[in-house]
Amino acid sequence: MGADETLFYGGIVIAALALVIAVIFFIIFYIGKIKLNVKFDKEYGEELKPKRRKRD
Amino acid sequence: MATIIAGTYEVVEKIGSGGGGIVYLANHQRLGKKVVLKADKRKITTRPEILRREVDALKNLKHTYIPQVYDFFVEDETVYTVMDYIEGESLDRPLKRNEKFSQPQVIKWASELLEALCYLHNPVHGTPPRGVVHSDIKPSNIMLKPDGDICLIDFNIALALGEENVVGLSAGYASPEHYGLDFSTDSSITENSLDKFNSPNAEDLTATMTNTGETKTMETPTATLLKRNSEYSTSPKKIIIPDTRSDIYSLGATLYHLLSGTRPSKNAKEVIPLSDKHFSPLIVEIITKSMNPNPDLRYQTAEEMLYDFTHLRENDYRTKKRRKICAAVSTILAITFLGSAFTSFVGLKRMETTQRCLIFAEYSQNALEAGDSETAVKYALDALPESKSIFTPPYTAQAQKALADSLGVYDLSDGYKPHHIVELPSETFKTALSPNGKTGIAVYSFAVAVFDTETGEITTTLPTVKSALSDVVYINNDLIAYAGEKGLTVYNIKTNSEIWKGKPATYISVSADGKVIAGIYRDEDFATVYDINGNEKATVSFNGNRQRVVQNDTFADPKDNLMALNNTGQYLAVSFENGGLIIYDIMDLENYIEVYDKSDYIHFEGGFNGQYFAFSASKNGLSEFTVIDLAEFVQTIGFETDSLIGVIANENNIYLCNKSTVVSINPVTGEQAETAYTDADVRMFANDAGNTIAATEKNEYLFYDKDADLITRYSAGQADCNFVDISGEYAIVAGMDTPNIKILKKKQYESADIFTYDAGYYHDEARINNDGNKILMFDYKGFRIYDTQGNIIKEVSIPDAELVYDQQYSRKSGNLAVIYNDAFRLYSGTTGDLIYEAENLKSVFYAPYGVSIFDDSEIKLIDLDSGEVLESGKGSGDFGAYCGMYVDSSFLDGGKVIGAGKTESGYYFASEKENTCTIYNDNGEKNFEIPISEQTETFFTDTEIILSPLHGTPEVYNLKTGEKIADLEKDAYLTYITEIDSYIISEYISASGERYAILLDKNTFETLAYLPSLTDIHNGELFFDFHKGKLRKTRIYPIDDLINLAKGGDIG
Repeated sequence: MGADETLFYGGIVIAALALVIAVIFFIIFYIGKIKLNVKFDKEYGEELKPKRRKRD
Repeated sequence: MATIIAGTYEVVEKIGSGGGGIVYLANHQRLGKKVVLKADKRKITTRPEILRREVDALKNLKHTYIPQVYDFFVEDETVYTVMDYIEGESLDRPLKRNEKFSQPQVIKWASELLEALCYLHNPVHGTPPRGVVHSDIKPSNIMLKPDGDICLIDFNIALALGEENVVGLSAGYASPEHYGLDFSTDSSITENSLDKFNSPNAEDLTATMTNTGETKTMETPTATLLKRNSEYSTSPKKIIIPDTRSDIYSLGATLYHLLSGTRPSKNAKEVIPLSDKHFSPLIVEIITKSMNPNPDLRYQTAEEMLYDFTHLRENDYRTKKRRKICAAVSTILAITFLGSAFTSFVGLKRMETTQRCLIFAEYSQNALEAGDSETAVKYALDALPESKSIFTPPYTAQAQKALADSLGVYDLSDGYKPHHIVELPSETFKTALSPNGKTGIAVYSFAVAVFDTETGEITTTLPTVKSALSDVVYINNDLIAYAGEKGLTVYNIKTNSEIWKGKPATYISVSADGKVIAGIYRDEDFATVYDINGNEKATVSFNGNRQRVVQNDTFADPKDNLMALNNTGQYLAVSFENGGLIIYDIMDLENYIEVYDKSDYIHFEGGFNGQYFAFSASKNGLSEFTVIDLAEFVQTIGFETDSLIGVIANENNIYLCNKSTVVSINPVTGEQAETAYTDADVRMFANDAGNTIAATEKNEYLFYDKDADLITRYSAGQADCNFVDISGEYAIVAGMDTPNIKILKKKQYESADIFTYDAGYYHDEARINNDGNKILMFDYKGFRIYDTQGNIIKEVSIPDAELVYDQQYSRKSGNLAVIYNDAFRLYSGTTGDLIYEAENLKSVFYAPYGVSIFDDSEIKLIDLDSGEVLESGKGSGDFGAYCGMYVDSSFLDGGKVIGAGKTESGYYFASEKENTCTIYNDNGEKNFEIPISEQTETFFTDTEIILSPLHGTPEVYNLKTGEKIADLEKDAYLTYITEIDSYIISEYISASGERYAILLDKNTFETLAYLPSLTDIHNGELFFDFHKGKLRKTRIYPIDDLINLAKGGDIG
């Protein structure tokens, strides 16, 4: 395989790999976020939504 | 009896009391609603109208976490505040019961309290800019309702009344400002004052202070809020008005207490920070910040603090850490993705460009094969893109080869080279060159085109009879006779003018002296003969005989007819459809020679050569060739063959073509001289001044010199070669299936001549010595040493020539090594003397670094330059050689050495045994093995080994790894490999004995150029020997030079 073919196919493989790793990473990250939210719920209570106050 | 206050409120019970007053649960008698009635014993100094206005403002406060104030009145010098009754208990009570609150619960309450404070602190609810300041936030002022929410009660009424100096003061919860202490950045507070402030009795007190200085429970002067009026103006303390930041301190202290269960120290400087081991660091941070003694360093607004409570998750270090990791990983992945996508895109664009270049290179090669060198150069340049961006790949080897081939820089052979292509409007019927070759004529449907052979341009177009039989012939260089649509026409192509016109004619013949012209129209049974001025000399009647034509001759000419005038125009030979062949005497029509009255021959060719008439008559694959002497009226030659015979007879000679051979024949003796010999049947041929062009059935056209040696061979590809002609410096080739006529021009490269020798001396190879002053020409039988003037210095015959199996030339000394199976001779390249000789050897082995000879037991490495023994050592068996180590039969164990080389990294050698080639280094260690199937020779470069089988394709392998790199030239025998700069030159002998070389890229072994007849490489220059008595040289052209050359630039 020539240099240009290596660039082309290598680029595709690495890009695909990066994409797969990104998907895996974000799944792991999302699961971690859920777990952390559970911890936060225990630590800080249910998430507080700032209430919108009407101006008098 | 129930107590009624203000006539409206019926006191139900007393629910609390403190320093500020008493709190009652009461019934609003009119509304029937439970309310809280707070009775404040403090004295009110505010004027009634101001009081009313402020009370109205307070009554307007409405918030989920603040009780609604309904009324405010003074009765019996007691201020009453009427507000919502809040069910539940204040937070101080569970604290007193040592109840602990969870962090999430405290956070929730903190958020609710802060929302309430945000509301209160809003300037619209109080005196701008601070709004309403509670000033006494503490657990006991926070009601925990049954629903879990809290309610901030008992906000400072006095402040609401505009009494700025009246504040709540709860130890531990009150901010330093409550005590008149200023820790702000520009404060001048002293330690002494703090010492006094730190009085132990200051705790657990809630005190109020009026602007009159009345102190109710105040124990230290420094803890007293200083009055604004003049009686305290001399005090060293500043007058500090608690503001929203004081509320924030109190809230922080309250939260501190709720979380830790411990009331914070009264002295803000001595508050023990909450432990971040027990509480979330972020909560500790918020509370610590809110309790900062310096109000400037606290949250400046409740909104800020609320923001931190509502963004705990976002501000948590774990979230931040995750966010950082996510950002870093995302960035890395994004960069990787984008980078690799870009890389892939670059690769794709480069592949596309490469593909396009390969296509252009192929176009170039096709154009060159078609004889269109100009187009070939153009395509080759297209295959070499100019831009040098990242998207542009390096030049392809195919493109470089296409450019080198189309420019012909390495083809220094004299001969006919593609010059131009003439494109006719339709396929060619006939074509011919003028006697001097400077113009050409061609018949197509239905016109004659006259073209300039130098420029390739059509100069004149003349309409003809609408028949494929239409003839056009040259009378001389300026005049042509053609089958004009209105009659036989003589036309001056130089002046572009018609000279005269005769009767209609298709077949035309002109006498060699150009004075007589004869014409026959289709299958008419007579010929009309004219003189050069157009006067009819005679009408020759054929007595009913007709030439052979097809039913529809518009597009078909059987080309079976013979019609020829002799040199003077006296005789006219005509063949007929019935197989008859008659020679008419124009001067005496009654006198004719009837060669055949009629016969079963269907095809005739021939013409006149002086007094001789030569022709062939053919039928069913059989031919008869005859020569008739018209002077003596006798047949001089006659023979038959079982194949077709082509005949061209003109004033110069009589040429015969039979199968693959073209000969000239002596009309008297019948002696034949070969003019061309091809490897396929000749379809058409032409001869001029000894040069012959022959077109074959393989659609090739070949040029031969007067010695019948092949000069050049071209392929017409798929196109037929039906017409060829050669004249002067030009030749033309055309086919009936193509409208293109190829023009080739004779080119000579005398400027490249470096040495002239006797062309009759047979030799295989020629070599130039290191000094460039001697040339050695040799073959197995002997050699000659020439000086550069062409003088023979020495001629030597090699003994036992039939036993010689190899010869090697040493550049440095010019010596010639002659190698036999059992002998070795070394001849001086200067004198031709025998320098070294050894016979009765067990083995002789050549390597570029020397010749190894092996006698009874000793292996010697002989230096080819000096003849001295460089190395010697012991060996055993039948074979011994020095390959960086002594290799003998015992080492080889039945194998044999097939090559050795000395590279930059040491000696290597290859042995062959049981269809396996093994590569060793000079320690005798195996590098790798390669399977082979037949007798193989090896060549070494610094980094590669080339295996050249006797009949197969040479293969290149990496010398270190054994990885295959490339295949070399097929169907040829590799003779030499030479490294030169960034190139490799591989030299071959083809199956037909032709010597040539290929210029290769050193890294890829891809072909860069074809080097025909290369004989030597010296000092970076290429030497060519065409075996015509001259050596020529040129240099290797780097691709940039070729591009410049193609663009007409100077390459030095």
